Amino acid sequence: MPEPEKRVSLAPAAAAARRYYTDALIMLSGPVFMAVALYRFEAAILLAVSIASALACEALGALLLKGGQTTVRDLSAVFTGAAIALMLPAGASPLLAAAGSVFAVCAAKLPFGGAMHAPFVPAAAGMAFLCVSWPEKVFTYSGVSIAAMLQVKNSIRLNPLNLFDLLLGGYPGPMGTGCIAVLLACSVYFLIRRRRALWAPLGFLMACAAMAALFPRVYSGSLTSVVMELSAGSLVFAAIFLLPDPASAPSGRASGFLYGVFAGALCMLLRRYGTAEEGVFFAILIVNAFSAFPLPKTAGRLILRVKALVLPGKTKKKEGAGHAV
Amino acid sequence: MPSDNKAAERFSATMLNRAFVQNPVLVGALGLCPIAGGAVSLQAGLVLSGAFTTGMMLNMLAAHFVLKKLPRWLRMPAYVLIALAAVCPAGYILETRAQTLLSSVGIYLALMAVSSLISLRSEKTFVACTLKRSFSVAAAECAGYAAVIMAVSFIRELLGSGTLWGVPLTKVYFAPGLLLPFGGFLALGFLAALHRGYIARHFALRGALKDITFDLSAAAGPLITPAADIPERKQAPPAPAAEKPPETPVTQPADETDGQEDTQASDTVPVPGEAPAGEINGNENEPEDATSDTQAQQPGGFAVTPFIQAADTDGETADETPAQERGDAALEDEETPDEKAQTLPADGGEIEAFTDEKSDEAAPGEPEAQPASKDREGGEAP
Repeated sequence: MPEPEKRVSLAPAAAAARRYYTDALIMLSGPVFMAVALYRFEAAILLAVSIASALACEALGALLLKGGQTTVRDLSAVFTGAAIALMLPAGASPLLAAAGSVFAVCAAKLPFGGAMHAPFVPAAAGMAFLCVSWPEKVFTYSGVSIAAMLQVKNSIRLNPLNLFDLLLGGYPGPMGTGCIAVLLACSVYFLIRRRRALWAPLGFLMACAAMAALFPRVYSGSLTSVVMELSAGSLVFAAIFLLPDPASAPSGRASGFLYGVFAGALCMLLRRYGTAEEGVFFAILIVNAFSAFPLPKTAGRLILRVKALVLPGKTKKKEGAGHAV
Repeated sequence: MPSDNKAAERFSATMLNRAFVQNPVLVGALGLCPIAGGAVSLQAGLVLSGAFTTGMMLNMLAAHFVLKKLPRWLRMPAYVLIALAAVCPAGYILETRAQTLLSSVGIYLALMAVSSLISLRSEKTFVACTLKRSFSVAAAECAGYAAVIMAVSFIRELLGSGTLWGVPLTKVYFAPGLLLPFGGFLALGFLAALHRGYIARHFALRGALKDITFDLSAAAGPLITPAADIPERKQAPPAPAAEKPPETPVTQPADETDGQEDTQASDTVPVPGEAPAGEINGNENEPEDATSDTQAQQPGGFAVTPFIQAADTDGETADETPAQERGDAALEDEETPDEKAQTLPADGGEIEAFTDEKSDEAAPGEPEAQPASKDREGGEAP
């Protein structure tokens, strides 16, 4: 009697990863559609090459390292390749996208055991590698980008026409990150499916807005600074798609929010004082290194100690409650 | 002459063990800074490895003949000054003849004088061992260090500059970012992983990779002990040393048995769980004759476990015996880095963040979930 055909199903963790990345790819379809609609053939080629490179590296690496067990089916490679392509200018060489995807998969993902265990967001690592190696190719657009304006302290007046262009990606920039309206609409999907994943992006955007308002790089006022900073470069895209990576971001609400705030503050500091015009990738990589620390508990203990110093009378009752926790 | 053959075998075993199997960079993680920062081309790599070799050899001679008579607190700065005697002439020569090479090497040439590997080896081995032993260890360490430097330099120059020894290879698509220190660390990481995989496949390592949970049994048979058995293994009573045939001391020449502590450990090959007595970083690494018990069981590989096991168990016995009486055994712990548990997460259990929203939501009155040190360590269900 012939043996029944064995169906190889994903392990629970891999199945959970596949569900997450399926949701992420559904959300990514909006920016992909906008990129292809705006840049057509160039965008399609860039996306195809980037995704194919990431898939090929993932398959080859899984074959070599895991004895044939493939992790391609969790769709993380597809997400990584697509995200990298969308954060590049439309006129970039396909080899550039391929290099970023190869680095993201081979250096930031496979050595750590796959997407579920990578301590650093692979797409952010790939983009950081491209920014360091070929900054002139990553930040070259058909015109003057918002990020370039901010670097030279230039500003625009926020009249209705310009604001509309800003929200719909009418200014030069990365091909998939300029349309803020589409990105925010896509985040509604996360709001429905994975609400907890949005705490980090929320903290991130709030911190960026606060830093932009308090320390503007342009002279047209806080509102202009906030709008320009949030719409420049890949900030919103990275906040929604890269920051809540499940393998690196904390899962709790308070810890996720603090994680996002920390990342946002770092991003704005790197934008202001760094050499590259986009610092969000480096900020994400830095906070990834700190994501293992139990931020709320540590923050809570610090607050209790400060209270003990400042308000010794009140501390007795509070200390017991704090220690009981 | 049998003694010459024996000496040659010991030298080659030391070279293989120290230069390759227990490479000071890839296994010991020593001397990383100059490699990560300065090894950006083959020429720079050659300069750095030459400076290191000269400094190590000078320290070896000075430590053996002169410095061992000085107190320890005086020996440590002496190592740096002696290494400077090698680094300063190299810097002067480069400054007069190859300014561009000096600028590419930068401060990392001067940092060779304060290399942790030179100071560590001088204090642990050269001061206490015989000249022959010291020379073999120094040669092996220099060979291992230079090999890693040149490998990293080759990779970074080829991929970062698109050249080899300054000759441009126009068909290579290069990434200048790899010339930065992060590129050096990446190259080192990949080399260390390849090295570890090769060693695990071709050498029997009992206790060395105890924190690694992947199965090595296919490569090395029953000698590989799973991580779960480590506590039992450590509590196992030590096998009596007298049971093992003491072949080595019978044939050793007189100059190697002049009371040096490092010769004691060469007599015995400790079984798992046994703390070798009075070992100094040295002879216990070397493979014993084929008639020893451990080697008889192994599939033809070298028995490298004694040194590594000594490093593992030394931490337990160091408190019992004063460091000075055991020579430099207490320093053994400093050399061997802690291998943090790098367990691959079990496939069972779901990562909290991946669960769907409706199964995730807590009741309004529920306390905040504990901020777990993340799934990175286990991927296990909370």
